[in-house]
Amino acid sequence: MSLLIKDESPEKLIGEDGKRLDGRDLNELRSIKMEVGVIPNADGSAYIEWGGNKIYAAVYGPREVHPRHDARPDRGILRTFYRMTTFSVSERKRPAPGRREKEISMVIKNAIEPVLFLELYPDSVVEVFIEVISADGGTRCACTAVAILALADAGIPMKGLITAVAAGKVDGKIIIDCSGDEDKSGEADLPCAISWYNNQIALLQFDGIMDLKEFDKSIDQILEALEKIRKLQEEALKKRYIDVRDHLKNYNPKVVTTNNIEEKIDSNNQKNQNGGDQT
Amino acid sequence: MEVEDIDEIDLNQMKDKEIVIPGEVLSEDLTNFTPGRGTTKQGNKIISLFVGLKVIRKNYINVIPLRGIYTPTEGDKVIGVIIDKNPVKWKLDINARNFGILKPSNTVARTQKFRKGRPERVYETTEKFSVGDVLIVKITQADRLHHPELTTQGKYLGKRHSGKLIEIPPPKIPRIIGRKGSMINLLKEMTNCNIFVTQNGRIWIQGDNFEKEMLLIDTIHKIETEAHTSGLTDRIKDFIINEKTIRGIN
Amino acid sequence: MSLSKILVSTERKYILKNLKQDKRIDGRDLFQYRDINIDANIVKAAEGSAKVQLGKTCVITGVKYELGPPFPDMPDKGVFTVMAELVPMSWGAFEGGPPGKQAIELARLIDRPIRSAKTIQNEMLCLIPNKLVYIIFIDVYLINYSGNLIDSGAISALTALVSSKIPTAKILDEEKVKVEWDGGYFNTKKLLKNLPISITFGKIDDVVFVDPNLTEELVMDGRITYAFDDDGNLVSLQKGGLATFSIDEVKSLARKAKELGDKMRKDLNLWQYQNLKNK
Repeated sequence: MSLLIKDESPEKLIGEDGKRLDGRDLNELRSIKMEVGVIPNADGSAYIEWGGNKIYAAVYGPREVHPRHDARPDRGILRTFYRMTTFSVSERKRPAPGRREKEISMVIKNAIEPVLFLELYPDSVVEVFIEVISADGGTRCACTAVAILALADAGIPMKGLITAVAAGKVDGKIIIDCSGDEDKSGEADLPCAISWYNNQIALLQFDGIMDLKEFDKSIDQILEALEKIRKLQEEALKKRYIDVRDHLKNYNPKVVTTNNIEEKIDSNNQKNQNGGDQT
Repeated sequence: MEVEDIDEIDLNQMKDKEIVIPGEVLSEDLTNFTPGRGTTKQGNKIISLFVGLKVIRKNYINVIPLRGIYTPTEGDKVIGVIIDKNPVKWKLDINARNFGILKPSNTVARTQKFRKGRPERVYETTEKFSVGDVLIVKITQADRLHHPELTTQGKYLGKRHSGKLIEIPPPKIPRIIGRKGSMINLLKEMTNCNIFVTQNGRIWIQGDNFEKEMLLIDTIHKIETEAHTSGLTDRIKDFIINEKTIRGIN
Repeated sequence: MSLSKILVSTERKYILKNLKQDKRIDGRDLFQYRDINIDANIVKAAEGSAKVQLGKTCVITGVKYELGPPFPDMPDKGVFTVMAELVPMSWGAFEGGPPGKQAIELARLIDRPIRSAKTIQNEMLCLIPNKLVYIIFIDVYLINYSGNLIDSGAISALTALVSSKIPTAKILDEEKVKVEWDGGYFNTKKLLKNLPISITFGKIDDVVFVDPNLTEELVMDGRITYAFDDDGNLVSLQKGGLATFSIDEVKSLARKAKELGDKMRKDLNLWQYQNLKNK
């Protein structure tokens, strides 16, 4: 099967002015937007927009384990499912989960599991479903960040958050947060996650070629970037509740009388038309 | 370390509690403070395990989670739904991580009826419960490792034949009840509905008409979204009064 | 939550009791549709994409193309397929793995009106008869399940198609099957002729209502789905579930569906999502 528009990677990824193709500095992050509580059916859920990445994560559980023989009598088990939609990449992905998806699922699971208090939930399973709607480089980092948000939103006890970002090497220079193009044609890719409760690395992979000096430099730069992302994660978790409070700050008790009943009814009708979906 | 709802801690204080997130340092002062529920000691710091509200009681620092699963506790009355049955037991979904087990021996002799002046025992037998039935049960045995054991013997317990079931996150149940039952009494009085609230996040309601039930459901969902704010009872009272006028309910 | 797998006996009684008095549990009228929210072009890598929210139901559809051989019985026509995935993220009772009966029925019900109404002018999608045609993939992913997947899936598939930017090609060598991108894209207003709108009714006992929400969908006896094209012709119909419909009912519901569909077509105005920037 062939496509008409070939995926062409640009020759130079860093311009004359020392900026990257999307206008970022070498250690600048793409824009990141996170939100929790986006999937009403799930026990916990989160959504992230990280540059061109758009990812949903949903947590179900702790609940009964199926099949039963997977259950452990002393602790709960964690299952992570990293999946990409068929249309998230430039060449259509086959719908069945591939080897890459299975590997990343496990890498994310191994990063997350140590921070959770799963021993409180023996004989049960916590399932994290991650669906990549749109992929643009660094999905495993974005997925780790969004999965931990969904778990925190679900109220699974944990020692702390996990934040991830990738460093890379293009045109001989170390960059932070590779985009899709930089990922494909760069010389190296170094995804890294840190769990904040002990400040240690929870996910680390490397792909490409780099000398040790560059490796040290990338790790240092990753740490800087991670601090920024962590702030965004913390804000996202609190925002769900703080928004309600802020909304109520302007609350002034207004009793409906015959004078203002009509305007109240109007606003109420509007509300009913907009909403109207309870279960 | 126990992770449970804290219903004895009163949420109705007038000041908004601080919202904390997992891993957030609550205190570094270990001499004056002890980690309470929803927290743990990490090195020389007390950290939170949940997204929740920070509550200091005496020298304990607690975090009340805002969402999470129900942990069965002995003596709790919960609403369960039968998901499976076999000749020796029913399995009930009680909104916890494992299903609860109801044995037929724990269901007999539920009520007494008087016929011709003589008391006559009415038994709830196996035939009476089928998959999908809503039961109010009491947890007689619960520990970390076993499936909770349930009973339908007791006041208010047994099968519900009508009414409506609502689910909200279990940690928000204390707000539906309110301090010493103030909120639930308000709801009952103002909407004239029967309400049965249980710790596993389920609420069973039945009113005399649909509009009142709708108003009650909307009110419960309003409490759910505003559970972490202060001055809730007054606001809910205003809300019901206003909505009654708007919807034309007496 | 965990209750989702089973039918709560009181729920059906409660819903039916109120339906008999023309009242629905979310406050709607029997023939009132929930609000529809459409977001087009959300995935960069996909040719076309759309997120549709119907109440709390959320569906994301992407359109991808490939070049390949046609079916032997239609040598001069392009091919399109619809796939639907009910991912476990969207509801506690959905399980992972290959699409089940429900997902396949959904995909076929989204496919059928598009095929019957000849929405896609598939003769335009032929490059070299017998050898090379466009293959269009319409992949529907469910993010949150709250009833009425057929209608929301159909709308998202149409929106994704309307918003798509499929490159056009010029033929270099017919014998050697060589084609090249000519720099342009299909104008979807020409590629698509007709946008059929599906309307689903649910039935409990003898009460019929439109657009069932999750609770209603779980307890209802059956459903019936009509689809009408722009000219008001019936293009698809499917009865689902165990309910039976009387002859009068089937006829009068068809008219009701046409009326609702016409109104929805006007309200949604799907052509506004055309990707005009790039023709």
